[in-house]
Amino acid sequence: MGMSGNRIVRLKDSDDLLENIEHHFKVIAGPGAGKTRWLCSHIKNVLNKSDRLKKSRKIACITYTNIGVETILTKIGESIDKVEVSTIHSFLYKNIVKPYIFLLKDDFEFDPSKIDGHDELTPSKGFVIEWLKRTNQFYKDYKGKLDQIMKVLCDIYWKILENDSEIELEFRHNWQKKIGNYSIKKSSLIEYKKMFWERSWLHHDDILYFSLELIRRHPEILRILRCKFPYFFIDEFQDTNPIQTKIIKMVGERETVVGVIGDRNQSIYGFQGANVKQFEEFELPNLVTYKIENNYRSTEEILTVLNYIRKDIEQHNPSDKRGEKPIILVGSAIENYNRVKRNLDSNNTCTLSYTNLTSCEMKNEYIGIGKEDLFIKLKVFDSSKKRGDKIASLIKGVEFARQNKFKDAIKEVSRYFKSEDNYKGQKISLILIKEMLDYYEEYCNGSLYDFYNILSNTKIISIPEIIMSRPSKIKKFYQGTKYKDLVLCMKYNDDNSLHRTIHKAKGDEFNNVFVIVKYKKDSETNENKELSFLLNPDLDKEDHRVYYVALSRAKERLFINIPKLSTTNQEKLKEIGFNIEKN
Amino acid sequence: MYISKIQISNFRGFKSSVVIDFHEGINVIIGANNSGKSNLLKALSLIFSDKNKRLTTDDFNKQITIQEIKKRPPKVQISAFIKESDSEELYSDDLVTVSTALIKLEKPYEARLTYEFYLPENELGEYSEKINQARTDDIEDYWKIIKDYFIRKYTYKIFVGSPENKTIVDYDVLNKFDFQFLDAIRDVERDMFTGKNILLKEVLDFFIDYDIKNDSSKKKEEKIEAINEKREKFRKDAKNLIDNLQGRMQIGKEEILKYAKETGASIGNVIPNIEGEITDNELLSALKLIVEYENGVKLPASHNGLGYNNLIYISLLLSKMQKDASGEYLGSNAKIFPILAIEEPEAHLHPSMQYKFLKFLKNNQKKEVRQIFITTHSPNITAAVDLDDIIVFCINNKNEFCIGYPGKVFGDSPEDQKSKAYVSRFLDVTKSDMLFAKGIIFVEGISEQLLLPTLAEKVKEDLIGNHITVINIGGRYFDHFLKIFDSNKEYVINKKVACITDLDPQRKERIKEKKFSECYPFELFVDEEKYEYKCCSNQLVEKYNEQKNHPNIRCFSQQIGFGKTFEYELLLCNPCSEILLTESMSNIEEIKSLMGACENKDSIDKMLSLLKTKNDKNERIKNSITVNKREQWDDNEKRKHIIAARYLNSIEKGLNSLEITQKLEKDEVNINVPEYIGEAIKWVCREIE
Repeated sequence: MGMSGNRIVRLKDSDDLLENIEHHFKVIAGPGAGKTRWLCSHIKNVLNKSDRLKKSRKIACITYTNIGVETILTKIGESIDKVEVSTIHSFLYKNIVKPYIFLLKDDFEFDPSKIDGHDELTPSKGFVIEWLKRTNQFYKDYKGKLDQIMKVLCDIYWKILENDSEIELEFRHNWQKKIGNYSIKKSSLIEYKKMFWERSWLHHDDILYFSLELIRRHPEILRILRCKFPYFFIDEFQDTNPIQTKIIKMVGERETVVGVIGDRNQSIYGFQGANVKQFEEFELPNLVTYKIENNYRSTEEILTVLNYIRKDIEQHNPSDKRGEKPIILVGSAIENYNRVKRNLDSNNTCTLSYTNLTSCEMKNEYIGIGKEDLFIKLKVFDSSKKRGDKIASLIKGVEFARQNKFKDAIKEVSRYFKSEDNYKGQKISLILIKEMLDYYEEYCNGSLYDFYNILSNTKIISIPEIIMSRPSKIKKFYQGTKYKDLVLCMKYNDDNSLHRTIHKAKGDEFNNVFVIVKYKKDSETNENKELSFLLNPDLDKEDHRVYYVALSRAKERLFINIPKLSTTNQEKLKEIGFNIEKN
Repeated sequence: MYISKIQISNFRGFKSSVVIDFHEGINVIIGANNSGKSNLLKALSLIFSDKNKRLTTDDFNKQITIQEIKKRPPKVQISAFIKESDSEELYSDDLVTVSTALIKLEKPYEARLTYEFYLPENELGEYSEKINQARTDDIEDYWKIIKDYFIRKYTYKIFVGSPENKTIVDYDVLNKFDFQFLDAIRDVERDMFTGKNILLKEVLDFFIDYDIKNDSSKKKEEKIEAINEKREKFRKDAKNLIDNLQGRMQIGKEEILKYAKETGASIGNVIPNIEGEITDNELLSALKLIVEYENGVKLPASHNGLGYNNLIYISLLLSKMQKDASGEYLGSNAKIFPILAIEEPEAHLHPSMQYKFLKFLKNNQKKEVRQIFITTHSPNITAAVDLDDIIVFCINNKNEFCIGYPGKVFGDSPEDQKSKAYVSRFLDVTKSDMLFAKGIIFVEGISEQLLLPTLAEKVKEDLIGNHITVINIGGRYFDHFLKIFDSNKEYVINKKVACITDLDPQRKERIKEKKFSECYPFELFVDEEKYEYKCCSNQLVEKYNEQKNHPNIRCFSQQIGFGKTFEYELLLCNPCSEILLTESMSNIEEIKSLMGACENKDSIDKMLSLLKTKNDKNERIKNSITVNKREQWDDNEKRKHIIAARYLNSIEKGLNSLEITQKLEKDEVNINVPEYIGEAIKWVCREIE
């Protein structure tokens, strides 16, 4: 590695190690540059060279997903007891929130002994009604719109204000403030959170909030973090939450060496508060910036397209890897995918969809009715709150289990059966899931009512009865909702299946990638708009970066699916470097 | 960091929330048998040791009432509090170790680890049902129910931080503590001496090639390289040995294996053979601990005396602890906080070796072991450590458990610091007994010290049986010592202390530059124009007199206006008793004649004329008695005082008392015990019973 006068130092490749490990650094590298590989080598480098680790200090290594954690753990091998690899939420939970949240118990009125992890939290109907009452908002104003409120509440997040000192709850989207004719009071959002905290339930996002709050009130926590982690590395930094950045900067003020790795053009989590500028503008005293330029992943044919979209760097494959031109497929995604798959020899082909719904449709090879969140609808619609909550949870549990996510499955279901057995409800959950999986064929193509029926026939748990003798809204809903449509509303935390959203494919790579461009069902898809990431690429736009990430996952072959394509656009795409296949 | 205190509830002798403070380094716990010393070490081991964490019904404190048992099942809770050291570096391994257990984050940080032995929540229903069915007033019946039905359902957990938060400790945290416990009945020979034994082998394995391992000029890879080279050489050398054996076996082997061929054990191309290899590690088992005498004689260590072997054992253990704390050798498995707990190190050890051993531990502490806990009955050990290291368990006169910290009773004032320095210097082996005894009688001099036990017998009290110790302060510095025992203050050792002291009356001429000097009681207040008087020159007498009613300290002295010193008082009580006349004293004849005169109730003039020897002392007695016309002083009184005064001028204190003691030890010999002495002895003994 050579030092240059410029503040940006070029690294030859992902095996180029730093001689000086004791300064803050930033590594900029495009897709396929071997960021993770470099990070793992750097960790080993530090383990060899450092004299600051003593007997029990560790290197902290933060990645974006649990899959990322596993990847790194496998690569660093036997040194894992000297490295703490985790996602930021697990890291902060383990090192700040869990051990020190008791310091906040008087101000936040929760019982630290009951806090057990963090989760995605969905309010029940009763919960929302209680919240409305508590905050003096009128239930009748929102009658019939509870599902909308639920969605809004599920989406709120902690936002750090521009001046960097205040943190407050914010609506995910500005338009969510208003439901019908009534505005949700912003000041009421904290009450919503408090209601969860009273029940000792923490949302993933609350972990960031409490971590920062704890550090603010007890700056000694910084000493503890510095003490435990003299080195602190963060992968995928472009998607870091600003609260996380704030915490890391504080830790890096002394003792701890901070290193961040990322690529501004792969920043795709803007909706979670991440900000492209954060990576570009990340600064710490004497920080050195490094750059890795090549792409070891994709063929030159794919790189031609990637380089066309991205103007700031030009990537080449050092071994001049060649392959087929990327292909634009026109027509139905499911049909095209099945056809393409038959002709591919590798089974490492992944579909990448923009929306969760599409990825679920690909998983199930079934096109649903629309984008409504049926789980929320079920919770709101069901006259019996307990029945709605339990059935929603159980369906999720069954589907998690079908994706081999047994831990998630049991966690999801057991929350409603905590006091039913001696294992915090885990035993009964397991029995329920197993039983319902055995009967899967009986309801998977049927209605929600079929599911309910089979569940109550198992007699494992008692479920409030749905009276069938007379017509009711609830009867209609259960009979009129397809089980499969509910399945399409599933959200998977760590999706390692071969049908993912682009966001869940972050950091991963596949031999063949099948990208499904956003399309609309009711109205006609506007191909100029949806293909603008190819026709008029602008990586300052987040959706263009999302597609850029999708395209750059491919090692050998790349397919992009679009329902229709005009002749003009065909020509343009051919010019860029695509082959077009129309059926 | 260091374990700053332990809080014990409902475990064996400790009832509720008993807190015992510790300090960095050595903590020496002393106290009577059954005062809970060993239970304290056991409590520590429940948290820090990796073995024997289950308890039995007998481990609960048995003082709880039936009501309490009915209310909730008994639960043992033991918390260790760990505090940041003053000199601790900002980013220490220590802080990493206890980071998840912190209860206070500000410097000095504080962490807490809590062991609980309890009946799980879901058994509570059955518990209260069973317990409430028992309609009996005998608490033993309730304990039996617990023993028969519930103790097996009890579980234990170790929590970090405040136990209410119910956060279970990470294996990682406990693993950083190394708790080595040497109990009093240890079988050291079983545990060491040959390399086959784990302890010695572990130590040998660590210290093999120590020159290379410890060479700071070499890099890690170079060390590994160098060690591998040696191993390889050993392997080759060992192969030669094996080959040698193989050669010697060549013919015999055929014999051995011939049956194998015949029985058909060798089918096809499989031929049985005998082979082997020895690595350095395996051959370590062949090494034994021996003792080599200067004359070259070698003996296996098992031939040593027990005491010697105990020392060797402890030294091996320290080596092992050094090994276990080595980051180089064990990486992140290395122990961060080795703790050594020794029960009665005096077992089998000669007193002077006890002293030496403790000095060694004190000097080597911090290198191998971060904190040491020792229980002892040995004054030799308390004499070897600082006052601050000592923790005293005692049962006060209300039968309550209490803890004294003799080092902590002294404040920062120069006065207190002076006292502390004085006491520290004074606490040698014999005087350390004041820490162990149940009651103390402090005396001013050797005479009282020698005579008191005998006088106690004369008033039918048993000092030894009551474990009352008589400590000679060698002067009047009672106050320095009383600070350790004054139960009106914090940290003290709460036990009965009787101070026996003299009035030592004084007078001073009413002239500016003159000073007070001692005088006879019969000189007091005789010439107030010329003199100022003090009936008692000793402030202690008033400070702790009967009227002050101090809860555990009382001072006893002679009758004001008539008393002077101990010997003087002996004579006042026994004016005609020739037992008090000893070989070593002078003027025997003169005193004998005085005693005869006294018995005859001769006139004062006659008595004074018997003071034959011409010297200033006799002149002073004559003059002073003559001029005393005060009405309290009748002839009877004066006669006694003439003898006492003459006696006092004729003896050498220590020697004289020794001779009297020898005479008094004969049962038939009787003597009047001075009233204040008798009272002191009775007060100390009675209050304890």
